[in-house]
Amino acid sequence: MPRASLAQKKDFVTKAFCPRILALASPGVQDACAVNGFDTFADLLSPFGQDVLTQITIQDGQGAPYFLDKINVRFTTDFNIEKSPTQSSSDVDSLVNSCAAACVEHADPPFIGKDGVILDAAMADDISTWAPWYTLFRQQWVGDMQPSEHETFMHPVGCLLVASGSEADPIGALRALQTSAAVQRVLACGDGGTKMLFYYMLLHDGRDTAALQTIDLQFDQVRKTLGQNSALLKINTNTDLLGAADAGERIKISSIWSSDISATRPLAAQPEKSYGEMLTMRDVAALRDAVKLMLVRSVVPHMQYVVRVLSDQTASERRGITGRLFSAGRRYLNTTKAENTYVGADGEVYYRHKSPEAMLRKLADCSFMLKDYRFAQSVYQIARRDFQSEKAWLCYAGAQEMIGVCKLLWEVQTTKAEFDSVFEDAVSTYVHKTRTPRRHFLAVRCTVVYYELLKHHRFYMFAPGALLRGPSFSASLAALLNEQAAYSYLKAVPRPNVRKFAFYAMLASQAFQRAHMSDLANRCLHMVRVSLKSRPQEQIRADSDDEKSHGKATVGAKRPTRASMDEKAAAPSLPTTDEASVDKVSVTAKTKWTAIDSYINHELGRQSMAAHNFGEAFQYFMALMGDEKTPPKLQSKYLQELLQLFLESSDQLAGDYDGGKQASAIELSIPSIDPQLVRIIMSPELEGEDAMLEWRPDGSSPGKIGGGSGPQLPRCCSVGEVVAVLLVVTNPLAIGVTLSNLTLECAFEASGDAAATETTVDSALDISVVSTVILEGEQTTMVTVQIVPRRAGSVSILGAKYLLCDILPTFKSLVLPGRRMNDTKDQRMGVVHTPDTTLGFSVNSDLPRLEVTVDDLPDTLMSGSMHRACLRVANSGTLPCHSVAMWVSHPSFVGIRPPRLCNDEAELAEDTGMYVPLSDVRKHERVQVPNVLRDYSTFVLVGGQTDTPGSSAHCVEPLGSLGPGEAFTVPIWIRGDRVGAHTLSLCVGASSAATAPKDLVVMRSRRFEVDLLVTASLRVNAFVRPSARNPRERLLGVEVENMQPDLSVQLVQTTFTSGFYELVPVSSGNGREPHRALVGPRQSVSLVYRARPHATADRPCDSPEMFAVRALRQFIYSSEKPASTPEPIGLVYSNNVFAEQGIDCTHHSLQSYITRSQAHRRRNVLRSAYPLIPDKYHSAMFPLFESFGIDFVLFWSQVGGAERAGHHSISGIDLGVPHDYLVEGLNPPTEGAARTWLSDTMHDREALIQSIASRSESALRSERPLDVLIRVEAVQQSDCSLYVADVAISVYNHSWRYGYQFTLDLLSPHELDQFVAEGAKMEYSGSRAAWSWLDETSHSSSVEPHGLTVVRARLSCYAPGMIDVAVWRLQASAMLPAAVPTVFSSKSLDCVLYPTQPHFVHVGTV
Amino acid sequence: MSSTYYFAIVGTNDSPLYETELGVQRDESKYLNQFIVHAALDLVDDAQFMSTACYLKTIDRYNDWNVSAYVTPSNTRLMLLHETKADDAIRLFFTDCHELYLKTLLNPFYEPNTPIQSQAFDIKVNMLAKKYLF
Repeated sequence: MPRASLAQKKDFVTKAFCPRILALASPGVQDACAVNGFDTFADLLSPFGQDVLTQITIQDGQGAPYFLDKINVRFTTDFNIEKSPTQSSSDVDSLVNSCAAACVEHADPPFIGKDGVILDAAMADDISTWAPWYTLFRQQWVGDMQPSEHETFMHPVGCLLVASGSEADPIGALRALQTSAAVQRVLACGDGGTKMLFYYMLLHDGRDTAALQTIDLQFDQVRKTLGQNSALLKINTNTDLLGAADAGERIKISSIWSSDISATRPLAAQPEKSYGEMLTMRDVAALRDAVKLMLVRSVVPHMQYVVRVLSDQTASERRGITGRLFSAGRRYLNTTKAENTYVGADGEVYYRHKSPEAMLRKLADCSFMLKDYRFAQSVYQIARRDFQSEKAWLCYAGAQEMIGVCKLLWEVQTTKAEFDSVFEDAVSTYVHKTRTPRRHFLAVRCTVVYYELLKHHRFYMFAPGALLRGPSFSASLAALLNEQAAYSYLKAVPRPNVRKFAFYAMLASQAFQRAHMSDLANRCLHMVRVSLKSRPQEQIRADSDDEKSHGKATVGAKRPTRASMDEKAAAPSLPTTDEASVDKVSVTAKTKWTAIDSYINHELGRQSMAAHNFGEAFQYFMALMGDEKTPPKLQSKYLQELLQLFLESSDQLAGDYDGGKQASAIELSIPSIDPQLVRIIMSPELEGEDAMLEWRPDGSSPGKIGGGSGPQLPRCCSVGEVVAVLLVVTNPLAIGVTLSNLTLECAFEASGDAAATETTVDSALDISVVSTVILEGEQTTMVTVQIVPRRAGSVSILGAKYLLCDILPTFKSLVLPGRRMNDTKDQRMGVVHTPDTTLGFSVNSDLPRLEVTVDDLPDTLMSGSMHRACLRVANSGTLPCHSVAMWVSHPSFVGIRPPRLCNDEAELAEDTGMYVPLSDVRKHERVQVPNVLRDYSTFVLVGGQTDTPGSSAHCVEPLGSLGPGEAFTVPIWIRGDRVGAHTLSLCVGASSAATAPKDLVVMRSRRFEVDLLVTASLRVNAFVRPSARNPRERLLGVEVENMQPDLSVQLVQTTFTSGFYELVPVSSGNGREPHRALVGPRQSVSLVYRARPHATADRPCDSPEMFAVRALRQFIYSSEKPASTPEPIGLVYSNNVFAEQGIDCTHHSLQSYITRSQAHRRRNVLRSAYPLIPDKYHSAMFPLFESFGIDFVLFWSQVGGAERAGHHSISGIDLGVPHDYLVEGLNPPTEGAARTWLSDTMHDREALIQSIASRSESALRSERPLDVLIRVEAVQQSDCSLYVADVAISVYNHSWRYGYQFTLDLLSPHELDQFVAEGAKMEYSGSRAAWSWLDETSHSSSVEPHGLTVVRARLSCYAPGMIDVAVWRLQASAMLPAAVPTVFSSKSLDCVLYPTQPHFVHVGTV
Repeated sequence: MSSTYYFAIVGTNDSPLYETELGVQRDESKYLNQFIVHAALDLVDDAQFMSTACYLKTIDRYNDWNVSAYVTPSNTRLMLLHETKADDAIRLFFTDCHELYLKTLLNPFYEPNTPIQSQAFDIKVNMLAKKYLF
């Protein structure tokens, strides 16, 4: 910083501690002054004592020369050391008030921006402009310095005696002045070692033209008589020209004094007069020259003389260790100790003027006034030591203060420790150790001087500490100091401490409040509120980096969160006169420091209330209400004040609040009603969830309406239907509140014909009013408001309104933003939301009003058992209904009966049970059933006439329509299909269309859900064994285990269905075995059946398997997707009845249920086995039943009654014969051009082919297409006692697709070792030497699909008995049709078979 | 001993993540506690670069109140407002609270720099306060 500017800034201190000159004037001079508007001659000279350019070189106390550039001097008219300022707190308060009142402008400082503190402005701006009242206070405070015994700054260094030339005896007048009382008082304070400086001035008043001739003569006489310290001053020289003087010049002359008064005594009342009426610019120049001459010629040399004399007199005190020892010795040994000090009236220890300590102080002060700070500091330090030892605390504190000032004015780089501690000591001593009434004044003066010097050196970091150490006996003074401390934090380097600034500004506001200076308190609180918004620069940078890295748009591209909604809700919509000037968003404090926010908002609210600014006060108080962490006492207080505020402001705002209109109600944050938790319940007396849902034709669960543009109303009701709106009301406060007259604010838009006429909300809707809601602290309650629409249209809920505590009309908005739009460029660049439709519903006059109830839903079932529930649908409206459908989530759990219109009798007569009993059940029955695999989860109850192919809707004798007042019931049999906990969903939908729609699209739906727990009852396992009797047959065993601990089960019937096999029980011909059909608790029963091909089995080319192969090939290679459906299949029902009465499995009710179960299972199997085939192609590619799968159903009933009955089933039992047929579909067709695929499609197809091919190789078990059975036909005994037996070897082909050529090698048992050595895996446990094959042992033949070929052979043995003949090898290869390509084929096309188990034949005697 | 402590965890965006008053509860000075701690953050910003340790000791004082600070490596500030001086106990308290805060950060359901609502955290902080401060 340039030294020039530094010098300017420290002027305050140098001017405060400048030399004083006592200016006394004779009465004649007083007259001349009065003519020009001055009270005293000192006032006339006052402006010219400032910044007098001396430009001389003088000597310091040690004789060293230095250059004195300029000096300040003040003129006083009196000197009275007894006069002392008593500064009580009320005086200080009034002084500060005066300072604040003098500054008309109380606007925010320039660094306070809208969004926080503008740091650049804060750093660049001058601190003195932020609080001009402090500058005034500082000037006034230091200007009030009065003479004191402990320092000599206010002691005049000389006396200026002025006499007028117009007086008769100027010399006599001057002598009279010299002996005046004021001069005598000054002399009484002198040390006697130095003479008092008298400077005589003869004033010539130009008006006295008579004296013009004699003035020079008089001046010569004065000079001769009184010495060289005399001067002649001529003013009012050209009175003749005054009348013609320029008015501008007059103002200019007058302003010299007026500006001086405003600078030195800023709070003095400016009299309405112009100074220097009779003066010209020449006179001004003469005055300035006279003062300068006096200073240069007399005052400064005299001060130098005083310094030199005092320096000599105190040399021993200042001279090293010797002087100190001498001084100490004299102090302790000399009896004159008491003569040097005395105790003043105020109890302080002072030094007499002739004492060395007093002279030291005077020496230092004089050196200081001559700007010899270095020497002054050294003298102060010497004097301080003596003051301390004598416990002269006032003198000590003064010396300490001046030491610090000297250090800082010396402009040598000093550290904090060097000056801060002395100032701290000075203030502390002033306040705590001295007893003088002036101690507070001196402490404040010390603080102010120190603060000014710190500002001068830009040591802003020390300033707060210095200011806060100051005495705080007055609230206004503390406020001023705290405010300055806050500003100092803002100027701190290297970066502003904004948070510290906020804290001390808050303390300042508190102090201002205590001092009843609400304007400044408000100003400080505003600064706090704004500064709390500021964020550190590092954080701003970090946030911007984050945004860049995440690629976020800088415009607020966030969906409004719950918090922001609350914030908006907290912003009131209070119409006030000055609302436009209030920024709603920024007016209240909103940081995460809740207690700080609450405090600021409360204080600002109270101040706004006191200022009758009710609109702003409302905002502050409402912001207070949202904080949950506020202690209950404060919450109660805030609420009371808010209500009081409303009552007080009601007169002003009476016109706005009458009638409780929505626009005039206040949006308050308590209690909170979350719009996301608001529920609209149609027909609240009914169970189930009500909504408009989309029913897709693929049988999936009816879901929310998606797609399309424009608002979609998901809910719909008919005219006159009751709609309940459920509000969750939470009181976040810890204190209780009461809400009264709670109702909803809705918007209604009429549709249809009513839209043309004007329809009001009141006429279209009946909205109930909840009279009282009492909310305890932190309580959450649910409030239901009912709406009954009277006209067709759309209703949207805007918010809730109520009276808070019976006083405050409050409105709570329940509007949420809808989905974020992202369709157009504007929507992507900005934030656009669709209108929210969750809190709305439409009223459709065409919609029939249905009441849907489901009765008797079970919660626990045994697996396999049945329970009857009932669906009842009643049309309570005035319009007929033409379409009703039902969807179930677990089709394998549900069996339904056709709907029946219910009148009382018919309803009772309905229901014959789940099963249709039949006394004469046929053992084998072949029935043609549809073989289409599709989703059977949707049922048409009303309106559907035919079961159209391709549609998932399943019709069970639906009704044509449902007229007004009619009702129908649907019996629903719910079966525990799988063990475990299940949630069954059931959805009933009705269309508003006048006629039955072709497709089920959008229906008003009611969804029910029931939790069902299925416990285990029976465990049924099936196993397969080969038959030793017939190679065509397999043995199928069924093991039934009763899992129940106390329940006996009677097996009623078993039914097998298969497209190829028929099954007969092994044990008995008639199959009725009651003793075997009873399964006790925890017992098990095994049933064994023989499976054999049915006589009327389909030909392979028509089988469902071929359909699947063709469809797969078409799916993969053809240009057209498979769309055909498989032919019906003839299923063979093999029944085995255990009880007296059987069950008709071919009845359509049971058949449809079994079909649904099968479809459900089959779809799950296919979905997991072939995940790459989309679900929608399942029905076109796979049949429902396979030819060779066997489905097993076991019907049972509880023993001892028919209360509980049911059935278990196993689907898709595989007998282990080869069915690896699907890989054939992977072969490309021999004819027909394959489509050229896109690359993606090609990849998909290849992946599908690979998955199916690899599954064929890995997942499927090894299968034996051929089976061998050896039977002895005849036995002969030869001569050698050998037994020779003719055997027939039957080779059966299980494959439905290929014939096989085979070679049967009969191996001799004794050669088996040699054969085994070749590596074949054949374990033979029979006797190897007891028998052998005869004749030809290698037979070649062929066998057709499902054909049997018999090979004749012979064997011989030594003795009759049982022989294990399972020693053979069968090499087979398939005979492929010419059309079948072989890229992908079954792995059992070529195989070598060995026996897997022993095969005994009996060779007996002839 | 009826000392009063105010403990706050301040996130990187200067918002308090957790705050509690330990010892004698004084409703009327809640805002002052927050103000003092909030203002002390300015000094923490300067002091953290003067030391390599997390514990910055007493960094600020106002009247009889002292503010001790602890800065985690992720620049989360643990602030304690206290009357009595017990550097070692406060350091141990801070260290354990830091560990507790780390465990909270490991919770996948906790979003960093958001207020800590866990009651378990509150209970553990009170236990640590009883262990070290009272």
